Amino acid sequence: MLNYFRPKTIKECLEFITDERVYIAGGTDLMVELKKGHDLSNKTVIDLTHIPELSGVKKVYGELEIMACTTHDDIVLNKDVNKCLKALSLACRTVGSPQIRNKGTVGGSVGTASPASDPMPALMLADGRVVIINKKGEMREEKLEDFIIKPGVTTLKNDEMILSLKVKSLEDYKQSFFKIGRRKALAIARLNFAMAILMNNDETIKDIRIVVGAALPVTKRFYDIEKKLIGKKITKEVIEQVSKQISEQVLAIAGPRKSSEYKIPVIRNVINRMLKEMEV
Amino acid sequence: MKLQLNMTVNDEAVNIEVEQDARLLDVLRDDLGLTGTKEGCGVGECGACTVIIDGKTANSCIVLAASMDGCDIKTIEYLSKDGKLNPMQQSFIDNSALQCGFCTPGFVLSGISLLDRNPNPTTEEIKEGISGNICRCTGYEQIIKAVEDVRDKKYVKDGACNE
Repeated sequence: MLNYFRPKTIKECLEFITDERVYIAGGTDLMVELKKGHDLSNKTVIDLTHIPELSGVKKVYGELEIMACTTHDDIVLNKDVNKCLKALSLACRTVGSPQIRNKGTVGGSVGTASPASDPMPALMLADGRVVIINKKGEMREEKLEDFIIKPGVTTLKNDEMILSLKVKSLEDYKQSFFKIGRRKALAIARLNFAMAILMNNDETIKDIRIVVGAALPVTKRFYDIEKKLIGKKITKEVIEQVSKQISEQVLAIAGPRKSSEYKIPVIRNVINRMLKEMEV
Repeated sequence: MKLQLNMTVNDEAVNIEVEQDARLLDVLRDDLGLTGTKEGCGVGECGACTVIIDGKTANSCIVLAASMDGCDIKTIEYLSKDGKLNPMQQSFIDNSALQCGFCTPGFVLSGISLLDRNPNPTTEEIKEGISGNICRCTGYEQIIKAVEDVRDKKYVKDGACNE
Protein backbone atom coordinates (compact mmCIF):
# COMPACT_ATOMS: atom_id res chain seq x y z
CA MET A 1 0.00 0.00 0.00
CA LEU A 2 1.38 3.35 -0.93
CA ASN A 3 1.55 6.14 1.59
CA TYR A 4 0.36 9.46 0.25
CA PHE A 5 1.34 12.77 1.83
CA ARG A 6 0.30 16.28 0.92
CA PRO A 7 2.57 18.72 2.75
CA LYS A 8 1.77 22.45 2.79
CA THR A 9 5.28 23.78 3.40
CA ILE A 10 8.81 22.79 2.44
CA LYS A 11 9.62 22.22 6.10
CA GLU A 12 6.72 19.80 6.47
CA CYS A 13 7.68 18.14 3.20
CA LEU A 14 11.20 17.38 4.40
CA GLU A 15 9.77 15.51 7.38
CA PHE A 16 7.99 13.05 5.06
CA ILE A 17 11.10 12.15 3.07
CA THR A 18 12.06 8.48 3.41
CA ASP A 19 14.32 6.22 1.34
CA GLU A 20 11.21 5.00 -0.45
CA ARG A 21 10.01 8.47 -1.42
CA VAL A 22 8.50 9.30 -4.81
CA TYR A 23 7.61 12.91 -5.61
CA ILE A 24 4.56 13.90 -7.60
CA ALA A 25 4.23 17.41 -9.04
CA GLY A 26 2.39 17.71 -12.37
CA GLY A 27 2.05 13.93 -12.53
CA THR A 28 2.38 13.96 -16.31
CA ASP A 29 5.10 11.29 -16.12
CA LEU A 30 4.33 9.46 -12.90
CA MET A 31 0.63 8.93 -13.64
CA VAL A 32 1.52 7.46 -17.02
CA GLU A 33 4.02 5.14 -15.33
CA LEU A 34 1.32 4.13 -12.86
CA LYS A 35 -1.00 3.30 -15.75
CA LYS A 36 1.73 1.18 -17.33
CA GLY A 37 1.84 -0.86 -14.13
CA HIS A 38 4.70 0.85 -12.30
CA ASP A 39 4.42 -0.45 -8.75
CA LEU A 40 4.09 2.26 -6.11
CA SER A 41 3.07 -0.01 -3.25
CA ASN A 42 5.24 0.50 -0.17
CA LYS A 43 6.36 3.81 -1.60
CA THR A 44 5.92 7.16 0.09
CA VAL A 45 4.27 9.42 -2.47
CA ILE A 46 4.90 13.06 -1.60
CA ASP A 47 2.59 15.48 -3.42
CA LEU A 48 4.39 18.77 -4.02
CA THR A 49 1.45 20.62 -5.56
CA HIS A 50 0.12 22.12 -2.34
CA ILE A 51 3.33 23.93 -1.38
CA PRO A 52 2.98 27.57 -2.52
CA GLU A 53 6.69 28.29 -1.80
CA LEU A 54 7.65 25.78 -4.48
CA SER A 55 6.15 27.73 -7.32
CA GLY A 56 7.00 31.02 -9.01
CA VAL A 57 9.97 32.87 -10.47
CA LYS A 58 12.23 35.28 -8.58
CA LYS A 59 14.67 37.71 -10.14
CA VAL A 60 17.83 38.31 -8.14
CA TYR A 61 21.18 39.84 -9.14
CA GLY A 62 21.27 38.99 -12.85
CA GLU A 63 19.77 35.59 -12.19
CA LEU A 64 16.35 33.99 -12.23
CA GLU A 65 15.37 31.44 -9.62
CA ILE A 66 12.59 29.24 -10.97
CA MET A 67 10.94 27.25 -8.20
CA ALA A 68 10.64 23.53 -8.94
CA CYS A 69 6.86 23.29 -9.21
CA THR A 70 6.46 26.21 -11.59
CA THR A 71 4.45 24.82 -14.51
CA HIS A 72 5.45 25.14 -18.14
CA ASP A 73 2.45 27.39 -18.64
CA ASP A 74 3.49 29.63 -15.72
CA ILE A 75 6.86 30.01 -17.42
CA VAL A 76 5.31 30.86 -20.79
CA LEU A 77 3.31 33.62 -19.08
CA ASN A 78 6.15 34.92 -16.89
CA LYS A 79 7.43 38.36 -17.92
CA ASP A 80 10.87 37.99 -16.31
CA VAL A 81 11.53 34.70 -18.08
CA ASN A 82 10.34 36.19 -21.34
CA LYS A 83 12.75 39.10 -20.91
CA CYS A 84 15.78 37.33 -19.43
CA LEU A 85 15.62 33.86 -20.93
CA LYS A 86 13.40 33.99 -23.98
CA ALA A 87 14.66 30.58 -25.14
CA LEU A 88 13.03 29.02 -22.06
CA SER A 89 9.67 30.66 -22.81
CA LEU A 90 9.89 29.37 -26.35
CA ALA A 91 10.90 25.89 -25.17
CA CYS A 92 8.10 25.62 -22.61
CA ARG A 93 5.61 26.68 -25.27
CA THR A 94 6.47 23.53 -27.26
CA VAL A 95 5.96 21.08 -24.39
CA GLY A 96 3.16 18.52 -24.95
CA SER A 97 -0.18 20.30 -25.22
CA PRO A 98 -2.00 23.05 -23.31
CA GLN A 99 -3.27 20.43 -20.84
CA ILE A 100 0.25 19.07 -20.25
CA ARG A 101 1.77 22.56 -19.96
CA ASN A 102 -0.84 23.47 -17.34
CA LYS A 103 0.25 20.58 -15.12
CA GLY A 104 3.83 19.62 -15.97
CA THR A 105 6.54 21.41 -13.99
CA VAL A 106 10.05 22.49 -14.83
CA GLY A 107 11.43 20.73 -11.73
CA GLY A 108 9.71 17.54 -12.82
CA SER A 109 11.15 17.86 -16.29
CA VAL A 110 14.65 18.15 -14.83
CA GLY A 111 14.11 15.48 -12.16
CA THR A 112 12.89 12.80 -14.56
CA ALA A 113 16.01 13.44 -16.68
CA SER A 114 14.36 12.61 -19.99
CA PRO A 115 16.84 13.16 -22.83
CA ALA A 116 14.00 14.77 -24.79
CA SER A 117 13.16 17.40 -22.17
CA ASP A 118 12.34 20.66 -23.95
CA PRO A 119 13.18 23.10 -21.13
CA MET A 120 16.58 21.42 -20.59
CA PRO A 121 18.49 22.94 -23.58
CA ALA A 122 17.21 26.41 -22.64
CA LEU A 123 18.19 25.94 -18.99
CA MET A 124 21.68 24.75 -19.96
CA LEU A 125 22.01 27.72 -22.30
CA ALA A 126 21.90 29.97 -19.24
CA ASP A 127 24.38 28.03 -17.06
CA GLY A 128 21.46 26.37 -15.28
CA ARG A 129 22.02 25.05 -11.77
CA VAL A 130 19.81 22.82 -9.66
CA VAL A 131 19.21 23.90 -6.08
CA ILE A 132 18.74 20.88 -3.85
CA ILE A 133 17.65 20.54 -0.24
CA ASN A 134 17.99 17.46 1.93
CA LYS A 135 15.95 16.10 4.82
CA LYS A 136 18.16 17.93 7.30
CA GLY A 137 17.51 21.21 5.50
CA GLU A 138 21.03 21.43 4.07
CA MET A 139 21.23 22.94 0.59
CA ARG A 140 23.55 22.33 -2.30
CA GLU A 141 23.77 23.54 -5.89
CA GLU A 142 24.89 21.57 -8.89
CA LYS A 143 25.35 22.46 -12.55
CA LEU A 144 22.71 20.78 -14.71
CA GLU A 145 25.45 19.14 -16.77
CA ASP A 146 26.72 17.40 -13.63
CA PHE A 147 23.27 16.72 -12.16
CA ILE A 148 22.02 14.64 -15.10
CA ILE A 149 24.03 11.41 -15.27
CA LYS A 150 22.17 9.48 -17.95
CA PRO A 151 18.56 9.10 -19.14
CA GLY A 152 16.37 8.87 -16.05
CA VAL A 153 19.29 9.11 -13.63
CA THR A 154 20.45 12.15 -11.65
CA THR A 155 22.70 12.75 -8.66
CA LEU A 156 19.64 13.41 -6.46
CA LYS A 157 19.96 11.30 -3.31
CA ASN A 158 17.06 9.58 -1.58
CA ASP A 159 17.01 12.15 1.22
CA GLU A 160 17.00 15.10 -1.20
CA MET A 161 14.53 17.05 -3.28
CA ILE A 162 14.81 19.68 -6.01
CA LEU A 163 13.99 23.11 -4.65
CA SER A 164 14.56 25.34 -7.67
CA LEU A 165 16.55 26.03 -10.80
CA LYS A 166 18.85 29.02 -11.11
CA VAL A 167 19.66 30.47 -14.49
CA LYS A 168 21.73 33.42 -15.62
CA SER A 169 19.84 36.30 -17.22
CA LEU A 170 20.71 36.43 -20.92
CA GLU A 171 18.72 39.61 -21.38
CA ASP A 172 21.15 41.17 -23.88
CA TYR A 173 21.45 38.02 -26.00
CA LYS A 174 19.41 37.13 -29.03
CA GLN A 175 17.89 33.75 -28.35
CA SER A 176 16.16 30.97 -30.15
CA PHE A 177 14.73 27.52 -29.47
CA PHE A 178 13.83 24.97 -32.10
CA LYS A 179 12.27 21.55 -31.81
CA ILE A 180 11.79 18.76 -34.30
CA GLY A 181 9.16 16.16 -33.54
CA ARG A 182 6.99 13.85 -35.58
CA ARG A 183 4.04 16.21 -35.35
CA LYS A 184 3.52 19.67 -33.93
CA ALA A 185 1.56 18.98 -30.75
CA LEU A 186 2.09 16.21 -28.22
CA ALA A 187 5.32 15.17 -29.88
CA ILE A 188 8.42 14.03 -28.07
CA ALA A 189 11.37 15.94 -29.49
CA ARG A 190 13.65 14.06 -31.87
CA LEU A 191 16.07 16.95 -31.85
CA ASN A 192 15.89 20.18 -29.92
CA PHE A 193 18.19 23.18 -30.02
CA ALA A 194 18.71 26.27 -27.96
CA MET A 195 20.98 29.09 -29.02
CA ALA A 196 21.96 32.51 -27.68
CA ILE A 197 24.20 35.08 -29.33
CA LEU A 198 25.69 38.37 -28.17
CA MET A 199 27.24 40.43 -30.97
CA ASN A 200 29.90 43.16 -30.90
CA ASN A 201 29.30 46.45 -32.72
CA ASP A 202 31.58 45.34 -35.56
CA GLU A 203 29.30 42.35 -36.26
CA THR A 204 31.66 39.83 -34.73
CA ILE A 205 30.50 37.33 -32.13
CA LYS A 206 31.07 38.44 -28.54
CA ASP A 207 29.54 35.32 -26.99
CA ILE A 208 27.63 32.36 -28.35
CA ARG A 209 25.93 29.45 -26.62
CA ILE A 210 24.75 26.32 -28.41
CA VAL A 211 22.86 23.40 -26.80
CA VAL A 212 21.49 20.28 -28.45
CA GLY A 213 19.12 17.81 -26.84
CA ALA A 214 16.94 14.78 -27.60
CA ALA A 215 19.32 13.30 -30.19
CA LEU A 216 21.78 12.59 -27.37
CA PRO A 217 21.46 10.52 -24.19
CA VAL A 218 22.12 13.70 -22.21
CA THR A 219 21.50 17.26 -23.45
CA LYS A 220 24.85 18.84 -24.31
CA ARG A 221 26.26 22.32 -24.53
CA PHE A 222 29.02 22.63 -27.13
CA TYR A 223 31.57 24.70 -25.20
CA ASP A 224 34.49 23.80 -27.50
CA ILE A 225 32.64 24.88 -30.65
CA GLU A 226 31.36 28.05 -28.96
CA LYS A 227 34.87 29.10 -27.93
CA LYS A 228 36.21 28.87 -31.48
CA LEU A 229 33.44 31.17 -32.74
CA ILE A 230 34.20 34.17 -30.55
CA GLY A 231 35.49 37.12 -32.57
CA LYS A 232 34.29 35.66 -35.87
CA LYS A 233 31.70 37.05 -38.22
CA ILE A 234 28.72 34.89 -39.12
CA THR A 235 29.36 33.88 -42.69
CA LYS A 236 28.05 31.02 -44.78
CA GLU A 237 31.34 29.20 -44.31
CA VAL A 238 31.25 29.61 -40.54
CA ILE A 239 27.69 28.25 -40.38
CA GLU A 240 28.65 25.30 -42.56
CA GLN A 241 31.64 24.58 -40.34
CA VAL A 242 29.63 24.80 -37.10
CA SER A 243 26.85 22.59 -38.46
CA LYS A 244 29.40 20.00 -39.55
CA GLN A 245 31.16 20.02 -36.18
CA ILE A 246 27.92 19.72 -34.23
CA SER A 247 26.61 16.95 -36.48
CA GLU A 248 29.89 15.04 -36.13
CA GLN A 249 29.88 15.33 -32.37
CA VAL A 250 26.20 14.34 -32.12
CA LEU A 251 26.79 11.27 -34.26
CA ALA A 252 29.99 10.39 -32.37
CA ILE A 253 28.14 10.44 -29.04
CA ALA A 254 24.83 8.92 -30.12
CA GLY A 255 26.42 6.37 -32.45
CA PRO A 256 25.29 5.66 -35.98
CA ARG A 257 21.54 5.26 -36.27
CA LYS A 258 19.15 4.85 -39.12
CA SER A 259 18.31 8.51 -38.69
CA SER A 260 21.95 9.69 -38.82
CA GLU A 261 21.90 10.50 -42.49
CA TYR A 262 18.83 12.62 -41.96
CA LYS A 263 20.23 14.44 -38.97
CA ILE A 264 23.24 16.14 -40.58
CA PRO A 265 21.37 18.26 -43.15
CA VAL A 266 18.65 18.87 -40.56
CA ILE A 267 21.14 20.24 -38.05
CA ARG A 268 22.60 22.53 -40.72
CA ASN A 269 19.19 23.82 -41.79
CA VAL A 270 18.04 24.33 -38.23
CA ILE A 271 21.12 26.36 -37.33
CA ASN A 272 20.63 28.49 -40.42
CA ARG A 273 16.99 29.02 -39.59
CA MET A 274 17.68 29.92 -35.97
CA LEU A 275 20.32 32.48 -36.96
CA LYS A 276 17.88 33.99 -39.41
CA GLU A 277 15.17 34.13 -36.73
CA MET A 278 17.51 35.87 -34.34
CA GLU A 279 18.36 38.36 -37.09
CA VAL A 280 22.09 38.17 -36.60
CA MET B 1 -6.31 3.03 2.83
CA LYS B 2 -8.76 5.68 1.78
CA LEU B 3 -8.21 9.37 1.93
CA GLN B 4 -10.60 12.21 2.64
CA LEU B 5 -10.95 14.66 -0.22
CA ASN B 6 -12.69 18.04 -0.28
CA MET B 7 -13.09 19.73 -3.62
CA THR B 8 -15.57 21.79 -5.59
CA VAL B 9 -17.04 20.13 -8.66
CA ASN B 10 -19.27 22.22 -10.92
CA ASP B 11 -19.87 24.71 -8.10
CA GLU B 12 -20.89 22.04 -5.60
CA ALA B 13 -18.82 21.12 -2.57
CA VAL B 14 -17.79 17.48 -2.74
CA ASN B 15 -16.59 15.63 0.32
CA ILE B 16 -15.58 12.12 -0.58
CA GLU B 17 -13.30 9.24 0.39
CA VAL B 18 -10.99 8.13 -2.42
CA GLU B 19 -8.30 5.50 -2.87
CA GLN B 20 -4.85 7.06 -2.55
CA ASP B 21 -3.93 6.13 -6.11
CA ALA B 22 -7.32 6.90 -7.72
CA ARG B 23 -7.35 9.05 -10.82
CA LEU B 24 -9.52 12.17 -10.94
CA LEU B 25 -11.18 10.73 -14.07
CA ASP B 26 -12.43 7.67 -12.18
CA VAL B 27 -13.67 9.69 -9.22
CA LEU B 28 -15.63 11.97 -11.57
CA ARG B 29 -17.13 9.13 -13.59
CA ASP B 30 -17.58 6.33 -11.07
CA ASP B 31 -18.08 8.10 -7.75
CA LEU B 32 -19.80 11.28 -8.93
CA GLY B 33 -21.56 9.88 -12.00
CA LEU B 34 -20.22 12.65 -14.25
CA THR B 35 -19.78 10.46 -17.31
CA GLY B 36 -19.49 13.35 -19.76
CA THR B 37 -15.75 13.19 -19.11
CA LYS B 38 -14.42 10.38 -21.32
CA GLU B 39 -11.42 8.10 -21.13
CA GLY B 40 -9.60 7.74 -24.43
CA CYS B 41 -5.90 6.96 -24.32
CA GLY B 42 -5.47 7.04 -20.55
CA VAL B 43 -1.99 8.54 -20.86
CA GLY B 44 -2.68 12.26 -21.34
CA GLU B 45 -2.42 12.41 -25.09
CA CYS B 46 -5.94 12.46 -26.57
CA GLY B 47 -7.68 15.04 -24.39
CA ALA B 48 -11.03 13.19 -24.17
CA CYS B 49 -10.81 13.41 -20.37
CA THR B 50 -10.17 17.18 -20.32
CA VAL B 51 -11.59 19.05 -17.34
CA ILE B 52 -10.91 22.55 -16.02
CA ILE B 53 -9.00 22.67 -12.74
CA ASP B 54 -8.65 26.06 -11.05
CA GLY B 55 -9.32 27.74 -14.38
CA LYS B 56 -6.92 25.69 -16.49
CA THR B 57 -7.47 22.61 -18.60
CA ALA B 58 -5.95 19.30 -17.56
CA ASN B 59 -6.16 15.65 -18.58
CA SER B 60 -8.08 14.07 -15.69
CA CYS B 61 -6.70 10.63 -16.59
CA ILE B 62 -3.26 11.68 -15.36
CA VAL B 63 -4.37 13.70 -12.36
CA LEU B 64 -4.16 12.05 -8.98
CA ALA B 65 -7.53 12.57 -7.31
CA ALA B 66 -5.89 12.92 -3.91
CA SER B 67 -4.04 16.02 -5.07
CA MET B 68 -7.33 17.78 -5.88
CA ASP B 69 -7.99 18.70 -2.26
CA GLY B 70 -9.18 22.31 -2.20
CA CYS B 71 -9.35 22.54 -5.98
CA ASP B 72 -12.15 23.85 -8.17
CA ILE B 73 -13.11 21.45 -10.95
CA LYS B 74 -15.42 22.05 -13.84
CA THR B 75 -16.60 19.31 -16.20
CA ILE B 76 -18.68 19.37 -19.36
CA GLU B 77 -21.81 18.96 -17.22
CA TYR B 78 -21.24 22.45 -15.84
CA LEU B 79 -21.89 24.20 -19.13
CA SER B 80 -25.58 23.98 -19.87
CA LYS B 81 -27.90 25.89 -17.59
CA ASP B 82 -31.69 25.47 -17.30
CA GLY B 83 -31.79 23.33 -20.42
CA LYS B 84 -29.89 25.89 -22.49
CA LEU B 85 -26.62 24.99 -24.06
CA ASN B 86 -23.45 26.99 -23.70
CA PRO B 87 -22.57 28.91 -26.91
CA MET B 88 -19.61 26.61 -27.54
CA GLN B 89 -21.86 23.53 -27.33
CA GLN B 90 -24.42 25.12 -29.67
CA SER B 91 -21.72 26.13 -32.11
CA PHE B 92 -20.36 22.55 -32.22
CA ILE B 93 -23.84 21.33 -33.13
CA ASP B 94 -24.45 24.07 -35.71
CA ASN B 95 -21.07 23.45 -37.37
CA SER B 96 -21.41 19.65 -37.33
CA ALA B 97 -18.18 19.63 -35.38
CA LEU B 98 -18.77 16.13 -34.08
CA GLN B 99 -19.50 12.71 -35.37
CA CYS B 100 -19.21 9.99 -32.74
CA GLY B 101 -19.02 12.67 -30.04
CA PHE B 102 -16.48 10.93 -27.82
CA CYS B 103 -13.88 13.69 -28.10
CA THR B 104 -16.44 16.52 -27.98
CA PRO B 105 -16.55 17.28 -24.24
CA GLY B 106 -12.77 17.73 -24.26
CA PHE B 107 -12.79 19.93 -27.35
CA VAL B 108 -15.61 22.09 -26.00
CA LEU B 109 -13.75 22.69 -22.73
CA SER B 110 -10.46 23.43 -24.54
CA GLY B 111 -12.31 25.91 -26.78
CA ILE B 112 -13.91 27.66 -23.82
CA SER B 113 -10.65 27.74 -21.91
CA LEU B 114 -8.86 29.26 -24.90
CA LEU B 115 -11.43 32.05 -25.27
CA ASP B 116 -11.29 32.75 -21.54
CA ARG B 117 -7.61 33.39 -21.85
CA ASN B 118 -7.54 34.96 -25.29
CA PRO B 119 -10.97 36.30 -26.37
CA ASN B 120 -9.81 37.03 -29.90
CA PRO B 121 -7.55 34.19 -31.07
CA THR B 122 -6.33 33.81 -34.65
CA THR B 123 -7.09 30.56 -36.46
CA GLU B 124 -3.50 29.52 -35.74
CA GLU B 125 -4.00 30.23 -32.03
CA ILE B 126 -7.23 28.22 -32.07
CA LYS B 127 -5.32 25.30 -33.57
CA GLU B 128 -2.76 25.57 -30.79
CA GLY B 129 -5.50 25.90 -28.19
CA ILE B 130 -7.11 22.61 -29.23
CA SER B 131 -3.82 20.84 -29.93
CA GLY B 132 -4.18 18.68 -26.83
CA ASN B 133 -7.38 17.11 -28.17
CA ILE B 134 -7.57 14.46 -30.83
CA CYS B 135 -10.59 13.72 -33.03
CA ARG B 136 -10.59 10.61 -35.20
CA CYS B 137 -13.92 11.14 -37.00
CA THR B 138 -14.64 14.55 -38.42
CA GLY B 139 -11.29 16.18 -38.94
CA TYR B 140 -10.59 19.54 -37.41
CA GLU B 141 -12.02 22.07 -39.87
CA GLN B 142 -15.51 22.08 -38.40
CA ILE B 143 -14.16 22.15 -34.86
CA ILE B 144 -12.00 25.20 -35.64
CA LYS B 145 -15.00 26.85 -37.31
CA ALA B 146 -17.11 26.16 -34.23
CA VAL B 147 -14.60 27.94 -31.99
CA GLU B 148 -14.30 30.81 -34.50
CA ASP B 149 -18.05 31.34 -34.47
CA VAL B 150 -18.06 31.72 -30.69
CA ARG B 151 -15.04 34.03 -30.92
CA ASP B 152 -16.98 36.11 -33.47
CA LYS B 153 -19.84 36.45 -30.96
CA LYS B 154 -22.30 34.69 -33.22
CA TYR B 155 -24.14 33.42 -30.18
CA VAL B 156 -24.37 36.54 -28.09
CA LYS B 157 -28.00 37.35 -28.80
CA ASP B 158 -29.59 34.01 -29.53
CA GLY B 159 -31.03 31.51 -27.12
CA ALA B 160 -27.82 29.87 -25.97
CA CYS B 161 -26.89 30.60 -22.39
CA ASN B 162 -23.86 32.76 -21.78
CA GLU B 163 -21.40 31.93 -19.08
